[in-house]
Amino acid sequence: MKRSPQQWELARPDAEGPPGDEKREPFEMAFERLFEKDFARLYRYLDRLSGDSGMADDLAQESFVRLYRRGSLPDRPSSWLVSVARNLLRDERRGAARRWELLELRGAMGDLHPPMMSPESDLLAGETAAQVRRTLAAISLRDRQLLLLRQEGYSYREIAEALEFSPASIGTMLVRATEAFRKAFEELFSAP
Amino acid sequence: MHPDAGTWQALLDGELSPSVRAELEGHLAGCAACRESFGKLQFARDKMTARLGLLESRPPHRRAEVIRGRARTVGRPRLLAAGILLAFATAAGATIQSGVLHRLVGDGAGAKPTTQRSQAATGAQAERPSGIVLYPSSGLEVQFERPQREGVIRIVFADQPAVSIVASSSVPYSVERGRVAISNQRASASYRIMLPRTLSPVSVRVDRETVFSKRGATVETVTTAGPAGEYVIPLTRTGTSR
Repeated sequence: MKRSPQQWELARPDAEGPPGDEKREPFEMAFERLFEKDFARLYRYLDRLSGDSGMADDLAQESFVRLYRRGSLPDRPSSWLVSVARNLLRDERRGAARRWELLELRGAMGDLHPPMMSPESDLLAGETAAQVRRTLAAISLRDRQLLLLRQEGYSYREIAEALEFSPASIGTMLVRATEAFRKAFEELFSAP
Repeated sequence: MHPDAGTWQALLDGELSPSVRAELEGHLAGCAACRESFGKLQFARDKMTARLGLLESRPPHRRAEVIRGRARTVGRPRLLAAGILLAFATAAGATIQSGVLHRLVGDGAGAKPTTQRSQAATGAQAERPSGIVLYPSSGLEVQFERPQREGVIRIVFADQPAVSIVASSSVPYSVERGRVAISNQRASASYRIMLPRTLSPVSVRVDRETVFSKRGATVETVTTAGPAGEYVIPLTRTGTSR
């Protein structure tokens, strides 16, 4: 029964396609629905990826501006938006490396917000957001993006398209990214 | 024969079709080794989700109509901006890198920016041609919040209705009622401002000092026009950087 990942059919409906039932939905309505559905998660993804909430807001808005100017929705608009936002972020990084220093800085200075209480609190045993930020900064950009996109509920297909991977490889890559995070966390914060 | 970890991960994440899911669940029921593997993955995933959940992130309230308005507002000038900036890069880019005040040029996922990098540009932040273009109906005020340790403002006049402002690196700004406020407190950028000859009044201020003003045809500035009719104003002149 050994099967390679490629043999497994990804079947979660591509939650996407243009939002709405039909591609014939007027662009303005479809854009509005997509904005309501995707702006917040695109913002959160960028915020956590960059460590800069102002830039996340700016880039998320700019991604939607570009989509609107396009005049029609691409086949997978959520992936398209992530892809545009990634390109914008990459350009921003070229021009301002300090954005990435902020991620480290915020981690080093401690958390600005108290840890959010959640049912998983026991699972985390006193871990803090600052530790998570520092760990994210320590793993590869690819792993960071994978984990953050999955966290926001993007489907494997959406992640694959946005990051230009095969959909069939996403599960394996997520396993590795999770393990990379765990190891980095231990290296950074385990008592000697 | 056992499915690999990536397959179990896809099952955990709800990414598999019902038939495949049923098949895998059947395998799990009869395979202790896979149940153990699956349990570990589930724990790791849940912990990862909880950890990332600690990163509080509160999206600001934004409305689609604002985005639409922004797209419409800057849509047409954007094309003009590209033309203007191309001209800058060609004709006068020797001292100013094509830069970004805000990302208004460039399109689509994966689209390559049409960078026009000056041959003589220095520094590491040359970016794609971009900038802002405004069509003020009467008057303009450009406010730089702070002096800088380095950088200059270059002001030139042109026979066109649009004002364009280009910076050599990314700098935040805002526009409101004929006033452009540039948040340059941490910047070391240089700026190029192209003004319509007919626009009046115009003022450019750094910190609280007016370094350039134009009323009617009368220009007052802290410097003199160069041979090409360009006013070059050092951003450092108003005092120490803060």
